[in-house]
Amino acid sequence: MELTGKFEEEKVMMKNTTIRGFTVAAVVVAVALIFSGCAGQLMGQLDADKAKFAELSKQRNDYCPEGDRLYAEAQALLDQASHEIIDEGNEKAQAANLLARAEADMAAAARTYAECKPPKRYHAPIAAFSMPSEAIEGEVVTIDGSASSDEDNDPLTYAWNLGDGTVSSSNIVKHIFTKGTYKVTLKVSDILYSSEPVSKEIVVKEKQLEVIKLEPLNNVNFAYDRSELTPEAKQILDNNIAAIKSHPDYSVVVIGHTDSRGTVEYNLKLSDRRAASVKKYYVEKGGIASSLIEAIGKGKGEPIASNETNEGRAKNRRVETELHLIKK
Amino acid sequence: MKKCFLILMLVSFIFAGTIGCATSAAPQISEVKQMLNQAWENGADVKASLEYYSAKSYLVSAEDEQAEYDFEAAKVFAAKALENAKKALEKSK
Repeated sequence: MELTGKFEEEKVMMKNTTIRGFTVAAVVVAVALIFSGCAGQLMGQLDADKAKFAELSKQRNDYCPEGDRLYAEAQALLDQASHEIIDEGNEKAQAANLLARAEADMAAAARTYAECKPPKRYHAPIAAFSMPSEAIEGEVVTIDGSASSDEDNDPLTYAWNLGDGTVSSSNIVKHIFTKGTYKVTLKVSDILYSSEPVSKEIVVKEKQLEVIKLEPLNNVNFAYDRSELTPEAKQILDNNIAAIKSHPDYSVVVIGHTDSRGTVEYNLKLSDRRAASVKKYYVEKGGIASSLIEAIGKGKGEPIASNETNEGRAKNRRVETELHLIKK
Repeated sequence: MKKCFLILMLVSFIFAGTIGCATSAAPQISEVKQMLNQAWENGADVKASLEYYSAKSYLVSAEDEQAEYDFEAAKVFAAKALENAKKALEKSK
């Protein structure tokens, strides 16, 4: 009887223990489920915040330190929250707090970046230049980029493309174009920004010369192998001086020639000396500016008479004076 | 007595295990602080604001983790802070 009672008592105890065990297990499972639900929720929030941060990074600029402070703080908080959620699965409250702070920072950073205005020194320069719209081939064209400006007064660098393959970095460019139409482009830069390129067109026409031939010095004017002027020559040159002075817009070209005797080199030098001798007379006797006169020796290459006879050779020993005017 | 000693040993092992044999991130944190002071004197808070504030923010995270004895995490954040502090210093020279 006593044994039966004890057995019954142990049976009840065992039953109670089993029930208690089940209850504890159920509670543990429930808590685990709740926490895993929380963890999943936080993970979702973390992903959403990371996406928000990626959006914010597009709004970032280089001139807003306060925005950067909030941006950087949000980034560190997100990293720290990520560490708490992923590496330390049991820090839910802390992670939630970190995420909330990161969200607040991101919202504030977005507002701050939007309100930040670029500082004055970030203005881009403006390119401007002057240039004739027409020119003659061979003429020196001046292209002036000095009118370019920068509101911040930063020093400017110049980048020219003259349209014929020539580039330059001067503020003023002097250039000779050949016949054609060219698009000249200028871009200026300061330390941070470049201007929009500015272009202008120039039409370069073929050079057209108006030539007036003055009385040449010829047969009687130079002895064989000599460049000194004879009195007859001086008489002719005095007449030419009067003609030159009456055409002040024209430039003067003096061209020396020889007969065929002697080598090419010798005759070129002799024709040079003869042309120079005439130029010297025009300058010294006529008072004509040396810079207006070009003296050229052409040697024996352009005869005007036969070199087979004395008469012909004398004619070939000559100096011509031409007045040139470039027609526009 | 013997039981007490065993319990003490066990507690010590658990404590060491919890903290890990990890060492503190204090030297790294200190280095970042010095570097940030120098960067600030150079004007990095304006000239290299993103790098400077990134370093500062990661420094705060490192100090947080250090205070919670999570030395490994503290070191990770201190390393990020150090990297940004170096950039800030370089950019603000």
